[in-house]
Amino acid sequence: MDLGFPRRGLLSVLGAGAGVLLLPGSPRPARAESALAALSRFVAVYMPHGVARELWRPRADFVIDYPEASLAPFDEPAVYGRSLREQLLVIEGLDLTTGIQGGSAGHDGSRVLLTGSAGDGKTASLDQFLAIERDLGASTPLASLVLGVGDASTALGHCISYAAGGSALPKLIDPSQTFHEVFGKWQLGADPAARAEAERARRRGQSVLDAITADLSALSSRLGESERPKLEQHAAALRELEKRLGAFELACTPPLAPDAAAFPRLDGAVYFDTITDLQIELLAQALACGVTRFATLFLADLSHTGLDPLLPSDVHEGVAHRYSESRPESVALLARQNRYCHAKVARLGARLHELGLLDETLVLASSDMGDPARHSSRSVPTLLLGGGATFRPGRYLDVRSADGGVPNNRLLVSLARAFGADIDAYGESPDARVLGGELSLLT
Amino acid sequence: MSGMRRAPLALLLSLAGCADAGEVASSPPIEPSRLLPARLRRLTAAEYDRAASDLLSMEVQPSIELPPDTTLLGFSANADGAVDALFASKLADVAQRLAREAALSRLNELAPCAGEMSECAASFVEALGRRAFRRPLDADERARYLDLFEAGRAEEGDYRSGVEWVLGALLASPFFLYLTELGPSPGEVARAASGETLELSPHEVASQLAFALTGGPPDAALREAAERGELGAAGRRRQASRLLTLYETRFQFRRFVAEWFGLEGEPPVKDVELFPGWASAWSAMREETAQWVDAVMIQENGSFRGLLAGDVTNAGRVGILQHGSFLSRFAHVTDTAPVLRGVFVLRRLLCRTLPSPAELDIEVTFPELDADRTTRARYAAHSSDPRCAACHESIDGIGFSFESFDAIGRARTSEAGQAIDTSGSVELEGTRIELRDSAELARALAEAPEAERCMQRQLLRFATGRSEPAAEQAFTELMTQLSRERQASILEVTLALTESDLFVRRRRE
Repeated sequence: MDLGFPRRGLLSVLGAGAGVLLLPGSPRPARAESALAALSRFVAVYMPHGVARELWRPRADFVIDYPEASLAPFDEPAVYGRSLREQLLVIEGLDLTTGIQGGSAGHDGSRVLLTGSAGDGKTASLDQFLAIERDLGASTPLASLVLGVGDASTALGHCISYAAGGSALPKLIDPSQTFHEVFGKWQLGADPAARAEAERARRRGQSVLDAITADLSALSSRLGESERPKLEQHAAALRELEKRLGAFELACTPPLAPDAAAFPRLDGAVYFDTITDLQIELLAQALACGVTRFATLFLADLSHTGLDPLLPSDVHEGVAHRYSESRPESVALLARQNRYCHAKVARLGARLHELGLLDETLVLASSDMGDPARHSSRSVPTLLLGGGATFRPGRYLDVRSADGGVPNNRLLVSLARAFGADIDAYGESPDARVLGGELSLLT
Repeated sequence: MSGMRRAPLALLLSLAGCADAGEVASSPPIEPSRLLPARLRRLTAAEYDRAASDLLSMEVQPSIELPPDTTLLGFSANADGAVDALFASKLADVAQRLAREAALSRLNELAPCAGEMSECAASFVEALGRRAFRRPLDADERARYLDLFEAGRAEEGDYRSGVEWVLGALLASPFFLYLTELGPSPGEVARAASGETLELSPHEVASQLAFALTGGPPDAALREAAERGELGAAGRRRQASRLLTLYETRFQFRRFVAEWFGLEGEPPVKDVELFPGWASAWSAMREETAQWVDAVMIQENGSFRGLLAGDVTNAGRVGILQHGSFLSRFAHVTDTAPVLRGVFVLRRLLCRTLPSPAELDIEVTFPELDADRTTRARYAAHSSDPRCAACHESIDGIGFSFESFDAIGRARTSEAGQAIDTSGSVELEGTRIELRDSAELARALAEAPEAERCMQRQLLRFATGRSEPAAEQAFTELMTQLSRERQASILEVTLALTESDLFVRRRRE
C-alpha cells in the first residue's frame, strides 16, 4: 500500500506558494547555517496502538526497508524525495513508568508521554515546558500549536499536551480552524482599506483585552492560594492574546486557506487522511513562517477510513487487541497500522527538510502502549527524527537492561537539556529515582 | 405523552407540602473541614450559551466554536476547568462576533438612548454589567467599562461602536466566565465570616441556584430575591421549588442523568454490518431515555427507585439500566461488555473505589472473539486467574446479569447457539445477593441505601463541579434527616441541598 506523498494534489487543496518567500523588509527566517545550529523547534506526534515489534525493529546495519517493515517510509526516496534514514533514531525499551505506577497506563498512557506524570500530575508536557516555562515560545505569535485528527476530546487518553497545573490542552482538529489560528490573523493585504480595518481591529482588541486583564487582576487579588495557578494560566493566555495583537511579519508568504469541501465532516473517518495531511502541512508551514516553534499532533488510526482493504474496519478491536507475536498474520496487520503512522511522520520530516528546518527541529513520535493486546505501556516505540547531529541519529537503540525498561522521564530530561534547559529530573512520581538523570545512550 | 408536554416538572412536590422542609435548614452548621472548598468554576459550554443568550436577549450558541468541556467524573461542570491560550483566543473571537451582531440588531433593547449619550452609556454599562457579572458593578468596574465605551465611541465615531466594545469585553470577562465563591465584597458587611470559612454573597447564591437547577443564569425573580436579601434557607427552598416548576428545568435533569449514566458524547461505535441502522438508532435511544427521565421526574417526583427499576412509560424495560442507551454505551463494537457494565454499577451507582488493572500493574488482554463460545465463557480467565478474581467476582457478577441484552441493547435468548445465562450476584450491605437477571439487579440497587447515598453524592458533584469526599459524606448524613421517601427522591434531595449550609458556606484554602 503506497500512501505516498502527492504534493501536487495537496498544494491544489492548500494553494501553497513555492516554498519560503520573504516579504520586503521582513526578517530572514532562521535557516540553519550548519549542522551545529542549536535545536530551536520541537514537535511531538502521538501514534495509536503501540507497535508490532517484529516488523518494527531495524535489522542489522540499521536496515529498515525489509519486507513488511513498518519503518520503511523513512527510507523511501522515491516517495518522499529523499531517505530520512540518517535522520532517524529508533529507541526501544522506554517505559511509561509513572503511568504504570500511577494508574495512567494502557489507553491512558498518552497522559505520560510528554509529562512523565500520571493522572493527577501537575507537570507541563515538554512542549509547554519549553514554550512557556522556559519562554522559548515568547518571541513567536503562538507559543505552541496543539493539533489532532477527528477527536476534539480532552479526556484522559486523548491528549499529549498538558499545561502546568495539569489541565489538558484542547486540540485543533479542523484544518480551517488551524489555518485561522496560524495564518488567518495576519492576512496582511496590500489593500490600504484592509490594513486600516486590521489596525482598527487591533486597537479594539487591545482595549477589550486591557479591560478583561484588569478584571482578572481584581479577581485574582481576592482568591485563595489554591486557585491562583488557574488564574495564572488564564493570565498567561491573555498575555498570549496580547502578543498576537502586536505587529508581526510572517517570515514567508502564507498559504491559501484549506478547501473545506475536501473534509465536509470533521468526525467522518473517510476524511481523516486528508485532514491529517492538511494538519501536517499547516504545522510545517507554521514552523517555517515563524508563527510557532512548538507543536504536537495526535494522530487517528485507520478504523473506518476504508484506506487499507487488508485491515478490518475496527482497528482497535480487530487488530490491536488481536496482536500476538505467535501469530504472524496478526503481526503483519498491526504493522500496517504502524506503517501508516510512520508514513505521516516521514511526510512531516520530508516537508521540514524541504523547508530547510529539519536539522534544527526535533520530532518525537511515540505511542501510549508497546504491546497493545496486553495494554502494556512498557517498551513503547519511540522515534526521534531530525535535530541534526544532536543525538547521533541513523541508528537503533535498545535501552533495556537486566532490570527492565527505562522510565521515559529520562528521555524527557535529555530532550529538555538539548533545548538548553539545565534540569536533572522531569515529571512526578512517589519514587524520585524514576524522575532523574538523562538517557545517557542518546548522546 | 403529548399531555405531558407543558406539565410543571414538580407536580407532586407542590402538593406534598413542606413537612420536613425545616429539618435540613435548622441542622447545626457543618464543621469547616467538611465544607466544600471555595473554588472558581468556569461555565460549561452549555452554560456559556445560556448566559450569553440571556445577556444579549438573543438565542445564540457560541459554544460551537469553543473547545469542548473537560469533564470531571462524567460531569461537565468542572471546577478544575481552566482557560488556556486556545480557549482564550476562540473566546475573544466569539465574543467579538456576538457583540457586533447584538450591537447591530438589538441596540435599542440592550442600550436604549433617548437623551444625552454619556447618561445612556452610564445607564447601559450599569445594567448590562450587572446582568453579565450577575451582581452590581463596583466603582472601578463602572469606570473601566465607561472608559471602554468612550474608547470605542471615539475610535469608530458612533454610540453603537462603544456599545459593541463593551459587550465584547463583558462576554469574555472572567466575571462572566466564572462562577465566583468569594463571599461579600470587601465593602459589604460580612455575616458570620470566620477566618476559616466564608459565606457566599446573595448574588453568588442566586447564581449557584440558577446554574445548578436550570443550567442558566438567574432569572428576574431570583435576581430580585438576591437584591432583597431573601435567600436564606427558606427563601432558597422557595426559589428552588419555583425553578422546578419551569418547563426548561427538565433539560437540566435530563443532563444530570445523561452525564451520570455516561450517555453524553460521541455515539458508541458499532459494527454496521452486524447492526445496520445503528446510526439512527442511537439518537432514538437517547431521546427515549430523555423522555423517560422527564416522566420519572414529573410523575414519580424524581424517584430513584423509579429511575432504576420502574417502568413509568410502560416500555417493557425495568429501569434505566435496561435502556438501549445505557446498554449500547457500555458494550463493544460487536459484543457485550460485562466488565464495563459491572464497573459502571460499582463506580457510578455504588460510588465504590475500584482500582484499574493499570493501577495494579496487571496487563489486560481482551478475550478472543469466538463464535462458538458465550461471552461468559470467553471471560473465564477472570475467575481462574487469582490476580483477576478478587475484583472480577464483583464486577462480572453484576455484568453477566445483563447478558440477555446484546451490544446495542436488544433482548436476546441465545448466544453462540447456547441459551443465555443471566445469573449473577451483587454485594450490598456486606451481603452477597444472588441475582437471576439484570431486572433483579436493578430492583436490588433501587432499594439499597448505599446506592441512594451514591445518587446524593452524584447530585452534589453535578451541582458544584467538584468531588470532595468529606463534603459528600456530610451531605449524605444531612439527607438522613429527610423521610425515607424524600431521601430517595432526586427532586427532594435537590431542594434539601439548596436549603443546606453546604450550599452557601465554603471553606477557605
